[in-house]
Amino acid sequence: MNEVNTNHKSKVLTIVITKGPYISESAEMALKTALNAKRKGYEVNVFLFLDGTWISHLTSDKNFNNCGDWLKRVIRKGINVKMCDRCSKARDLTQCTIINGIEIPGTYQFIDLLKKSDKVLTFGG
Amino acid sequence: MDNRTYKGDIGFIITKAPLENSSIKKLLKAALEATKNSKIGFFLISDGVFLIKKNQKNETYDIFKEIINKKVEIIVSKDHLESAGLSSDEILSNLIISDKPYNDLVDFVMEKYERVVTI
Repeated sequence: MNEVNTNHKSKVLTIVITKGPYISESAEMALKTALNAKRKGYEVNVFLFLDGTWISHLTSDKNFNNCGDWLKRVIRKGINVKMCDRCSKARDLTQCTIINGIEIPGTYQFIDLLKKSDKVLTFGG
Repeated sequence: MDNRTYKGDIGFIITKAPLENSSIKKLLKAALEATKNSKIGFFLISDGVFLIKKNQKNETYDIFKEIINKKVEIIVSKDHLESAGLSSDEILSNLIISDKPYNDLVDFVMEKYERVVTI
C-alpha cells in the first residue's frame, strides 16, 4: 500500500484496551498499533481499562508470546501508559504488582485524555 | 433528510468473525445505511478477515456483499489472511491486501477517515 504522507506531528492517538491478555488478540493488536503510530510521529497514549488492566500484571518473562513484553516495549518507546484507578482497585492491582512506568490516574483524567485526543481507538469491545 | 445526519468519512475496523456475535451484523447494517451520505471504508484484521471468505450462507455476509457492490475501500491484513489459511481463490475480489497491517491501520485511523468505529 502507498504510505500516507501528511504533516501529523501534533496529532494525538489514544488507544483504549478493554480486554485482558490471552483471551483474544486485542491486547497485542492494540500495542502493535501503538508502536507503529509512535514510529510515525504521532503522540500516543495507551489506556488500560476494565480487564485490559490485567496486561499490566504480566511482569515476568515467559517462554511464549508475552503481552507484558509488548507493554514494556511500548513504555520504553515513550508512549504514555495509564490505567483506570477503579478497575485496578477492583482487581487488587497496585503499583507494587504491575509493570513499572504505568500511571494510575482517576476517571476524570481519563476523560481529559479523551478530550485531548484527535482519535480514540478501542480494542476489545 | 434530517439535517443532523453525519456526512463525513467513516472507517470501520472489524476484528471479529462474521458470526462471532450479532454486533457484526448490526454494524454492517449501520455501515450500509452510512453509504447513503458518507464515504466509508473497512479495515479487516484478526478474525475480521473471515468476512471476505467467498460463498458464505449467512445474513451478515449478504449485507457485506451489498456494501462491497457500492465500491467501498476494503483493506485486509495479509498476516491474518495467511493465519486463517485463506488463499486468494477463496476470498472476494477488489480488496487491498496490506502486508504492513499495523502501519496501514495507523494511516487508516489517523489520516484517511474522519471518524473510526472499531468492533
